[in-house]
Amino acid sequence: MKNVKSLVLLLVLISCSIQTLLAAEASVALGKVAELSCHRLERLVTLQKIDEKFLTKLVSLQIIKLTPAKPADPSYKVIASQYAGADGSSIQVEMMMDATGKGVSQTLKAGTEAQNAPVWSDKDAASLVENSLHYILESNNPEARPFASGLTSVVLKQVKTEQGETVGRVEMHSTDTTKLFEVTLKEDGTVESANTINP
Amino acid sequence: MKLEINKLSVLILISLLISSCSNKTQLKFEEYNNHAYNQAMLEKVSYQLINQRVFIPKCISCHGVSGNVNLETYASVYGFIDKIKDVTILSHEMPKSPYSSLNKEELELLATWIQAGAPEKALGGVDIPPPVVEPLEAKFLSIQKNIFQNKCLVCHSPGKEAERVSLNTPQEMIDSPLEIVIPGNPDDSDLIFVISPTARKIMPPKKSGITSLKPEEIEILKQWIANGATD
Repeated sequence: MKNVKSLVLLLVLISCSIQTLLAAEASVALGKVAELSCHRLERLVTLQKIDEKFLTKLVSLQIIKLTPAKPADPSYKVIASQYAGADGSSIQVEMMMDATGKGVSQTLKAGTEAQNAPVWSDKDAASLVENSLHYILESNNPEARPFASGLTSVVLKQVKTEQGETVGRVEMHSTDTTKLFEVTLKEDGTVESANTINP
Repeated sequence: MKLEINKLSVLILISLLISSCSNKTQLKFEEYNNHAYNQAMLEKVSYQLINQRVFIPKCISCHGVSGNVNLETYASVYGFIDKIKDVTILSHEMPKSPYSSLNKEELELLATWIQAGAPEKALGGVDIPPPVVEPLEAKFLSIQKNIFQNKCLVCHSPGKEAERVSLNTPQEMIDSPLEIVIPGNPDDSDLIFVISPTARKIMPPKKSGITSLKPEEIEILKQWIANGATD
């Protein structure tokens, strides 16, 4: 009887430990990780650890889920790239994040600065990307859900509408669908439209 | 003759309609005169009382130093008294959403004070004592009551625009991946970054109309974080 009690206690403990480990492994949706990385960029600029051009010339984020071997290992890596320079290379920053999405370290990658990156008249490029991520995380649009959960990359483009208005278009890819998602924003950061596209 | 009678009927009808409309306006104003203010308190209300019970909790968040209309001094309030009456007591346009409207008690106090002529001191010489105001301290409850509630929670609350960034408890701010608060380190805490006058994305945002934090409020927040950001 005593042995049975011990066995039950042991099973409960093991189950709790597994649950804790799993929770620590994947507690944040990838769309949220991307959104947090935009805040991280702001923070690193404020702390003068990276250049302000990561906010004004940001073109893409790549979100990678890691498999931590130890609890202290990072759970996510986000690569933020500036517009490519004349030789096609980009200045990048790799941001490592823990299981909650908190930044743990960052590494700058050299590249060539773009001289002809799009200029935004109101919100900067990082804010436009961040607002598009707020949309997929907070709107009730069911088409946006696979991009909140399985986001792998976002790319910002500057386009002109038929009416001649300059808008930002954020293209998103996800592991949870083969479709693409496009969020179009005005230069003040308000979302104008959002829709999926079959590639 | 029949045509004349018809014309006369139309004229009478129009004048009856006009008179009914003006009666409605009159009624609304009489309603304000008869019910909104408290006759018994007319000689006891002062600016100090109204400032602490109405202006500070309900107006100053937007109508402070960086707002369009400053309502932080008696002179400025007195200068806008007719407008204040119009937008609060008569039309209820202020406070604007997302701030809550004035409640019945606040409306009655304000109306009574305006009815008394908006005096700086109570007309009868003896004021209703204003509520005791606790000074702003480097403690969470004081900060929550005097800063967050007035300037932040209007957006940073469940169901509101910025609910994703919670300022509810010290622990939530410490645990946030946004590093809102780093105990003992105000200089690296995001909370301090965003309220500083030179912030790229200053909080409260300019478009909100809410006035920026005063230097003494920023100093208190820094002190609280430097002391460990506990309760």
